[in-house]
Amino acid sequence: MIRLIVTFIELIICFLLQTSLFTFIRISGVVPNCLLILVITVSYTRGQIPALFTGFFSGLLLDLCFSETVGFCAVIYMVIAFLAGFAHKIYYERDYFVPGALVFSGELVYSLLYYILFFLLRGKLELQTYFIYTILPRMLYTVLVSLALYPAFHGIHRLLLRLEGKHDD
Amino acid sequence: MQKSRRSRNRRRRNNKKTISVLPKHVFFLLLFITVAIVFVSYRFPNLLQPVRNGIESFIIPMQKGINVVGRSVSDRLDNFDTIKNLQKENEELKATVEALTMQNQQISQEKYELNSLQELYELDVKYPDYKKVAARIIARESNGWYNVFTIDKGSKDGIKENMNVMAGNGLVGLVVSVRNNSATVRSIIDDSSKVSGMFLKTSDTCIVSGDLNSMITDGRIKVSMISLDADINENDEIVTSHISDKFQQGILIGYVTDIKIDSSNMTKTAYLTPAVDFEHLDTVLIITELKESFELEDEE
Repeated sequence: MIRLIVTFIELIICFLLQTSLFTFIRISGVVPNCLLILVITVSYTRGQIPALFTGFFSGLLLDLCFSETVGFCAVIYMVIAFLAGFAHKIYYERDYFVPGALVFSGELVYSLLYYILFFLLRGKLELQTYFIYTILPRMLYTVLVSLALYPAFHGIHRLLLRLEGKHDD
Repeated sequence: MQKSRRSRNRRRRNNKKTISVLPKHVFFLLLFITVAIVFVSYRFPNLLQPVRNGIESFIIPMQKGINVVGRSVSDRLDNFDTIKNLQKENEELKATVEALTMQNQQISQEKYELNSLQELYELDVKYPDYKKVAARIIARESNGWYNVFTIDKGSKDGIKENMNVMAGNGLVGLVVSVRNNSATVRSIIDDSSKVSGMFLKTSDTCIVSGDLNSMITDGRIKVSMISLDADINENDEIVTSHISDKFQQGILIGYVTDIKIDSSNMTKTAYLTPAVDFEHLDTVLIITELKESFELEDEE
């Protein structure tokens, strides 16, 4: 129960960071994908099922606030959560490289899916420009922010484990 | 003793595994639900309105709080601009003000004349003063692909769908969805936006369409379907046209550059520099009148 509430609060914080705070500190016109960092963190530390629900609700929140047709972001986040969840098998608490790499590739998958769903289907073919000016800066910026956000979320996760009286095996 | 406990533990773990759900089942279940939501929201857009209102009443106050902090920080950063720059800018501005005052006097005289002539001919005023409401931008859908933002006025302040949004004297976009205390605006530089435009000088119509590709490379959007024999030059103003069914007539969109004849040899295409600085936008004006063509449709 506590974990559910904590994840919910983390989700709201990420949403606010992404849509409000980081719009003041944009780098080359993009903001980092904080919700993706949360989804990746959950799937790496806790596995696929909690990550799927986190991805589902964060995508739904974004869609409900910004787009007329609801659900596309939720699908994208869920696909990423499902794929990244396989990395839970190699979870090791002091490893910061794997989550970083997951965030990096997750953002790539997110952008490519987004491009296919919303641009390629409308006949926009200039992937090269989009890649250089939008996708790449966003991947780098998201990884940079994840360096701060991942340890924070991971620390909260460890704290909750200790509260629940469980120890990692 | 110890051995039996261990084996019991193992058995318990094994039991757990057989009961627990596989991730892929959860994945497909959630996927099914999401696809259902996509269809429902596409087919019956009003059905999700209560949910949107609920989320809004929860999120908007927090976004407003963050924006107050963010704006004060970015204002403080802007203060570091050197005095020299400011002095230079001040001189330039003074010169422009003088030139504009001259021009303004001339124009107001002409306007006076125009009014009296219009009265004589009993003509309607061509560009009426639209009633406007000011609003602040509180959130952006800024995943780098779209240019959609949320403003802090909604249906309680009289905002409706399809109202035009301006900033300064230029067109910003269109209200696409409204909730109780907030509304979503799609800007004209958004990749999926299309505006029917018109050259102010010659009244030739054209289509102004948002284009991410040219927007991120050099801050311009596309103009197409200009008549081949339109007598237009670089830096001509494009305003919203009389044939648009959503945009009020005569709002400045921007200035045209790079006019070229299409490969089909039938029309001209060009690029447009928006009159609004979208990068530093934080307050907008919403025209609270809808284009009249809607009422005409209702009467039919």
